[in-house]
Amino acid sequence: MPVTLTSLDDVKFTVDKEVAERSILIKNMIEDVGESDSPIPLPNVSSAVLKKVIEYCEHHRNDPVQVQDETDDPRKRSNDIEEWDMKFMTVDQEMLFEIILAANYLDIKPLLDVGCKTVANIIKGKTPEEIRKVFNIVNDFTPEEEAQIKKENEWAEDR
Amino acid sequence: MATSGTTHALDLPEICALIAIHLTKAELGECILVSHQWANTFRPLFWRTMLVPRHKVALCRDEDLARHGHHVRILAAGRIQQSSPFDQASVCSLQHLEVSTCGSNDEPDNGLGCLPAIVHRNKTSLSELHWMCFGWDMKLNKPYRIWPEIFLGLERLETLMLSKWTISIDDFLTILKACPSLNTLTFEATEDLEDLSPLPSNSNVSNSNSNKIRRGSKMIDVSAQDRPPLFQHQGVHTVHYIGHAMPGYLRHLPKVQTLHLQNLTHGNLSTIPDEIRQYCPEIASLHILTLCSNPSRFLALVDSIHTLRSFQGRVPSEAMQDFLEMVLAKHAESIETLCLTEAESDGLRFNVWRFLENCPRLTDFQIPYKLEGSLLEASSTVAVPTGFTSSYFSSPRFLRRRPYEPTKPWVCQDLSKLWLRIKDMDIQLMETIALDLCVDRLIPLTEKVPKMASGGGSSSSYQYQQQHQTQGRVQSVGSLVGHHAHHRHGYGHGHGGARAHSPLERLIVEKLSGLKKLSKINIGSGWYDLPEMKD
Repeated sequence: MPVTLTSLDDVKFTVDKEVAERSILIKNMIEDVGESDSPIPLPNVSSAVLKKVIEYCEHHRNDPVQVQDETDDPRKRSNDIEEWDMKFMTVDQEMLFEIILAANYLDIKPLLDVGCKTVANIIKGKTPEEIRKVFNIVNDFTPEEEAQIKKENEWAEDR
Repeated sequence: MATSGTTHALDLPEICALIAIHLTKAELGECILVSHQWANTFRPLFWRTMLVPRHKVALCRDEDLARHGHHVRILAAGRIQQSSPFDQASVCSLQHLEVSTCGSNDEPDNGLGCLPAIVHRNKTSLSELHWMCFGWDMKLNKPYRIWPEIFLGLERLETLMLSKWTISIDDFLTILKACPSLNTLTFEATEDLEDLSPLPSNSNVSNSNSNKIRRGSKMIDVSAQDRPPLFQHQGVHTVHYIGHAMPGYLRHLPKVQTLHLQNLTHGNLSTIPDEIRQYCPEIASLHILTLCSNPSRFLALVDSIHTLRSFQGRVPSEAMQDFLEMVLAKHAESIETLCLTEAESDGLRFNVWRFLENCPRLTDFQIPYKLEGSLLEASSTVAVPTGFTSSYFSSPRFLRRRPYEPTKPWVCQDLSKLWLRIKDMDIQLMETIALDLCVDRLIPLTEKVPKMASGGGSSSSYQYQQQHQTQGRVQSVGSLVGHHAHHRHGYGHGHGGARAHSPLERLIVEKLSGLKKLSKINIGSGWYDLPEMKD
């Protein structure tokens, strides 16, 4: 059964119900609305981003639904991102963050996790200056402030 | 970070928290140094968890904690003495606290130092506390006596672990009354002040009418009206005893569902079975990670459980037969998890298949003993009268040796994890069984080749290789199949395997492929993950 989604810029996407329901937000909307052909409006998501999100949901349509476990530590799950997901996430920075925002809004936990893991991997192993370069951030610390923070961090780090 | 008026992902704290989960403390430290905005975002995440090793406590700086202490939620503060950098106004939102103090009879504060101040300051947020004591009270010849008043006001405390303390029943009641939200209790190397449990009598009848208690080495008569009304905590559902069991506590915990016993000295279960029988009808899960010095006490413990859902751990080898009979007789309908730890004894003679035939809720079944492939079992026509254990009927004249044949279908349709070992079973066959199951799962029903052709189960997967290899389907099954495909090519032909399958082996494969929810299997050569069944 097909479902129609409308993006922020009024572009319509038709997908299978099973694919759309990877988003818990959409799943709940469908349940509330019941049997209806009217398109589901997603005013927070642009068409470019929605296209990517749908691509992800199509590829992962058969994945088992992750059971919410309070004791589940995401670090304990596999640390490797799947090859397909890695390729999927090779996008410019702006799109990466837009996908994360969309996954958060649409409540697609696996996509959100992959996105955040990808950002974490970008940050890992970089000095503050390198991080600034990647994300185009201006250093607004005075040297005294920097020295202060370095001292604080020193003893607070784990063994 | 946000260039226009729209939100950037890094502006949302919940997203930053998700990113921070994958970063080490050092990496979070680097993030703080990027810019003011990043500092504001990542600093709470950096300071959230403080695990300070003892040798570093001296380096903790008060000024830093004064500034950032309010971010700390999880703190392992090492040893608390007269003063601690964590004893300050900013450290007031702790959720999880691990500390140790040095017991003392000489100090006016009993060695507690500033701990009461810290705990009091965090009483509205604290939900987990681990408190260990150093030292040994020479007067009591026991660990130091705990100071239960520290728990007053800890209304949100849910998880409590106490190590190396002496806790009298009155102390324990003070703690229970002060902490209505408690649900998990762990006592490690902790002792009762006095043994208040009634003397065990010769029969197994419960001692509720006994009015004698032991104080020191004497028995004292206590008439019913002298004893205070029984306070019972309605929240605690899990109790761990490590090193030493205090059965007297259990009568105050009627809602316990899970009991862990670990490394008990001398394997002494004491009067736990009697307490459970009388006061704790809801216990459904047992984890026994301890030797039991007395097999009949072990059996009494299992017998005291009203409805057993989960058993994990060690069974004394002398009690194994009776234990398994008891579980089957009393708890076949309710048992979901039965996981025994490996022990030295071999050649377990019990018809383990009966569990699979009679236990509909079984989901996790692990018996890592080498089971006899044919069974010396009690003749099924001889009923076991009450009062006798089945071991009586293990004497030779009642036994016959027969191979396992299914008398009933297997009812455990929800079984998802299985570990069985059959004595003298061929290693190659064991791998074949697991492999066959994997392959079985991946073929849609319509394309299945009829199984059990001459040569046994392995021929089906061989034929599958033949039919689909060119279509590249084999690749999706993973490297294990690829390895075995080459391996089996060496043996060649539709008969597969080095020898014909015995009826038992064929049976196992057939039965196992009927278990749709089976996801992990170990038949003696290691764990295999089975793919999900295709509809």
